[in-house]
Amino acid sequence: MNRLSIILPAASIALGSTFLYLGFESGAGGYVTLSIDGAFLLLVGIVSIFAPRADTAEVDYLAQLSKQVPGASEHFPSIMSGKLYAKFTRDGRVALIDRVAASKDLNGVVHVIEPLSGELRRLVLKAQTKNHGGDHGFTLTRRFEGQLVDKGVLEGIHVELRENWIEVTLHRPVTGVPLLPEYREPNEAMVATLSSLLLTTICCLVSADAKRDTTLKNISRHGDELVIQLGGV
Amino acid sequence: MRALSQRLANLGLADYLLALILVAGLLMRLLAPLTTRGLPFYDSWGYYGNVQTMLSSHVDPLFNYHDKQYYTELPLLNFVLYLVSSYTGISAFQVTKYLPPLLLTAVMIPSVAVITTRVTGRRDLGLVGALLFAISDVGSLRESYALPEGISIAVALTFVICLIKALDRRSPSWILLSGVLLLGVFSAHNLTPFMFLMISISVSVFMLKNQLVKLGYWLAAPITAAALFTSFTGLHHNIDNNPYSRYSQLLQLFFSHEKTIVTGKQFGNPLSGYITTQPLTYFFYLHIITVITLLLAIPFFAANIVKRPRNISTAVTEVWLILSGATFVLGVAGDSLFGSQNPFFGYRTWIYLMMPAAIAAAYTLIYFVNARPKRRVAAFAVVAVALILSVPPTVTFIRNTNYNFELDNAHDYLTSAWLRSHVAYGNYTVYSTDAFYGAANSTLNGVYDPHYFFNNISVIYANHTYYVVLSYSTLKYPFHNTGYVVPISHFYNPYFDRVYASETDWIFVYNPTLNSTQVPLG
Repeated sequence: MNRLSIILPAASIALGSTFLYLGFESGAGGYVTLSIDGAFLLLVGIVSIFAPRADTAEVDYLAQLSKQVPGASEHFPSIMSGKLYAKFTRDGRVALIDRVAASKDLNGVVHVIEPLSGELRRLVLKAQTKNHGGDHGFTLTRRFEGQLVDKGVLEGIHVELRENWIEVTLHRPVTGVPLLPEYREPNEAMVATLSSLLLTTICCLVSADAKRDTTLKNISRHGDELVIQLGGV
Repeated sequence: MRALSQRLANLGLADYLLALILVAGLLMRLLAPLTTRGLPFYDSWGYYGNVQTMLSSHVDPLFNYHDKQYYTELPLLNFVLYLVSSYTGISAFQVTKYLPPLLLTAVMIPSVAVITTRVTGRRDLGLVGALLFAISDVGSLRESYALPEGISIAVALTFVICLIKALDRRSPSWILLSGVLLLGVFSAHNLTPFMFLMISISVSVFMLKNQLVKLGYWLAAPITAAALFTSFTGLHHNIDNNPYSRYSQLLQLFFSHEKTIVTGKQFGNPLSGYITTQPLTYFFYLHIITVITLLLAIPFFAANIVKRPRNISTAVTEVWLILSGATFVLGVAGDSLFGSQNPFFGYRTWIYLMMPAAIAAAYTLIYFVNARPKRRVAAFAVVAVALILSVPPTVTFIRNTNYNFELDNAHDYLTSAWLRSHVAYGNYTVYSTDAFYGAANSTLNGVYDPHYFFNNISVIYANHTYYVVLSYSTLKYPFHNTGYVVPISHFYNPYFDRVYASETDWIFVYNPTLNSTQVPLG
């Protein structure tokens, strides 16, 4: 439970009660809209205190998908810590860029990884094509931006590097994650699910490769570029 | 500039089709203004008078300076018309007549296209949604003239777009923008803000129900801003009382007629807001596009009730559809039980429902998109034929609805001509509607304009004589707003002689000598 999960409900209940009091105090013809808002804030506050966290089934689904990243340990021997730049390619791949290497090498791309299996990539591409008319731009990147705001998705993730693959384990249900209802519909859900997976996978790759006890300091995004800051514990 | 030209060069087929739909929608909405000599329908005249007052005195006549409250309508439409007229130099009459259809077409049709595209995930269906709304009879009618609901819903549509984006991206800038737009809705009308406040709250509750707690908090921000805005600004009295008192009046009517309602004797024509005597089949013919749209919206409504909406935009549309549908049922029931002039005014509930219904109807067509080619072609051919067939009855509907107003306008012109020949010599002073409430509320209008007397009630002081000009349109609608109540009894005052009468207009002249031969109106 983080600080916000206490502050927000408390503030909401306090504000809601005040508005309700003001609304009723003003009598007939008074602050009706404020009263409605007060009742609403009270509801939000109470619900968010008692609401169960995200479904375990959804978490399991995420964890299960995250395992499908073969050959990761071979790709990044040079990256120890500091900043790593990741760039999304339009077909669902992730290009990791080492800026130090980039000064010597114009290309600067360390390696292009495919964190998604062929089948999943096909689904992503299908979803992108289907969605092309509505959402201009790159679906994964757009969804990814949404995930970035809720960093809770990265909480409680344990990463283990085992020979030729990465195993991602979610130790407890993820809190405050924007788990959209579409998780339950595979074809439609794939975009949101995979973007979440993508973020998790990249962080895990970098973190695990740099040092076992390296922690994630910050993630920020500039256009199609994702900046992942790492640091020691 | 270069970016713009590059963008223009990159326009695709869908953009051209949207432009075509915009033109079609614009033609529908310009039908009434272009075929009316004066201003179409009733409400425009009030706004025209307001804008004239604002241009001459730079104060909003709707604002009560004694208690700093808006008692009648809300200011946004007045200010938009006033600003356009004062900055462009176009007359208040032309701005009032043509700006609303132009502005509402430009905002609402692309907005419906954007939302439909997000909900369906397909741009072609986005265009279908826009088309259904663009040439719909109800939509076209209510956006043909100056009406606070119109501008309020236009702002509300952009609010919905920003809301969906804000929730999708968890973006503070989008949530800020949606908050500002929600305040815009609150400054434009009284019933629409209540509708969209409840929609926002319901969407938030939906998020909470689906354990999306953070999204619930995201939504709480604009809702709370709107509630504070409503309570602690000059708009408080109108927004906080009008919608609730309308609902409450209707509910009181229901309860006071419970016995006759239960026996079924109270029920009359549910469509009295639109037709009074024609059979239901004629209604279906006249409103074929509305009927088709509502029927097509039902599968979307049912599917999202049974199954959880698959994304945020679908959830928002479903909530919007449910709330506007419930308001629609309430409005139609009110019209059926208590006539179209009941305090709830059921006619407006049609336009509220039409927008989410157009989006939902387009979504339903997805089932046909994925069908086998033959079935797909057949389904879209049926829809296309229905849309083409709907154009003549829609035009008839708009023309018929406007016909009575045109008739009034024609008489108003003759009245203006009479006034011009009898009154417009020498100095004169014109007082508008509120003149009957005494000097404190009177609006002085020094500009002589023949249009001014239309659908209005005015007192003119000229040649040391008081003239009272009364239009039938003013009496026909039982407005309950204090500023518009017409004390008819004053005209039976024996000190007034009727000097001019047409079918819809009368002019009285003050005569200090008692006249016992007063003839009743009509």
